Amino acid sequence: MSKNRYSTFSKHNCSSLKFEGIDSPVAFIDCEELHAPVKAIFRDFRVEHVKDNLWEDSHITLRKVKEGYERSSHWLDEPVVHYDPVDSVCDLTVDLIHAFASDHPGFLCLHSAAALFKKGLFLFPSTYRAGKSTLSLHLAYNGVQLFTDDALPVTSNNNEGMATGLYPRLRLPLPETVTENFRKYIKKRIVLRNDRYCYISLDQDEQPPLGTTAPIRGIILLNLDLNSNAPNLISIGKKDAIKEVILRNFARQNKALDIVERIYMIAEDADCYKLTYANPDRAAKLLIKHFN
Amino acid sequence: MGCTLSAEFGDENQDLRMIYTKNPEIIERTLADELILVDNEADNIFNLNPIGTAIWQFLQEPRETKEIIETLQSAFPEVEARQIQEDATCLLHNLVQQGLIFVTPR
Repeated sequence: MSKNRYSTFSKHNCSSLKFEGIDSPVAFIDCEELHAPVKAIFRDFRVEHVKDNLWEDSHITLRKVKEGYERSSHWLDEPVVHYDPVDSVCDLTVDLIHAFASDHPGFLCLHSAAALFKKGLFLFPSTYRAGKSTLSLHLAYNGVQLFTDDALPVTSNNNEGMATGLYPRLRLPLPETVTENFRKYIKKRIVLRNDRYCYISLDQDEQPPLGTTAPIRGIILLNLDLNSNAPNLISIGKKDAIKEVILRNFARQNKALDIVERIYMIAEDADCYKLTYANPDRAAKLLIKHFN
Repeated sequence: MGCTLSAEFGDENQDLRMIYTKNPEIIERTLADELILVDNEADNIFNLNPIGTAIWQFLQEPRETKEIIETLQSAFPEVEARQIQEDATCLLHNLVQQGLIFVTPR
């Protein structure tokens, strides 16, 4: 864990934001201009200004430096600097999810998208470049409720997935495979963007409020294969799904055995699939046909 | 992978007589033909592929390297002996490094 390395800010402007559900406020040193973009992407987290916060109490600190914005946190080995304020905000969300998991002992936190079909909550665990955000937004566009496009807390008492109310984020430019109508849908809803990313606002019908939970009924491994033709959904054994979900848990405050046992339990109650696809709209429609 | 026992212990003949024993604190969970190993003390989780699982299960009692390699060779006669030796020694090396098994001289 890195330590906040500043000892005094008497000449600096230190402001802090407290996020609902996260104990330690985030300190902003000389970069109050980041408040608005941060607030813009958290639809449901109540975000409050904190007066007289001691920056030393913050587990996450952002500071304006010559090169951009430097962030240090308990979850970073070294401070990182982003030139672009939107990149800085994007990356801050990672630490906020870590902070949330840390402040909720017993929660798992999965690097996964999750969508609520009529058959229940389905997970799409994967790292980057599997297309989970683009697929997530296509699900929302086609009427499926999106819990998250990237990080899913799993409750400690009954292993249910929990919505975060953090808006989904798309990488730009959008893939060539998306339709013109989808582009228009996205364009109307952008709340924050730069050249590389944009955050998309969804209302509560499309994305349930923070704290909404649902039992996990399915795990779908994504295989984005641009050479594939029609999307293909096949049933798979629990083995690959369990391995993938174990790898995607980034909440480390639980004992290893607890993590394994709970992921086995989740998989026990879930149907497991592999989705191979090239076109996210066709893939979303295939999933809706199967699970709605 | 350049992962040989002699690199670890020095002498290949002596290496073949090293004895491997499971760490009794490690918890196993079956995953079809594979295993998940949990070191709950260090909060680490490992996955063994089917071959690794076979070796792990063969270590129900302490075994010499030579014994492990010979058993694998008879189970997989179509695989080149040298390949089996390299794979087995590499896996054993990794298991030792991760504290999942212990190694002692005979």
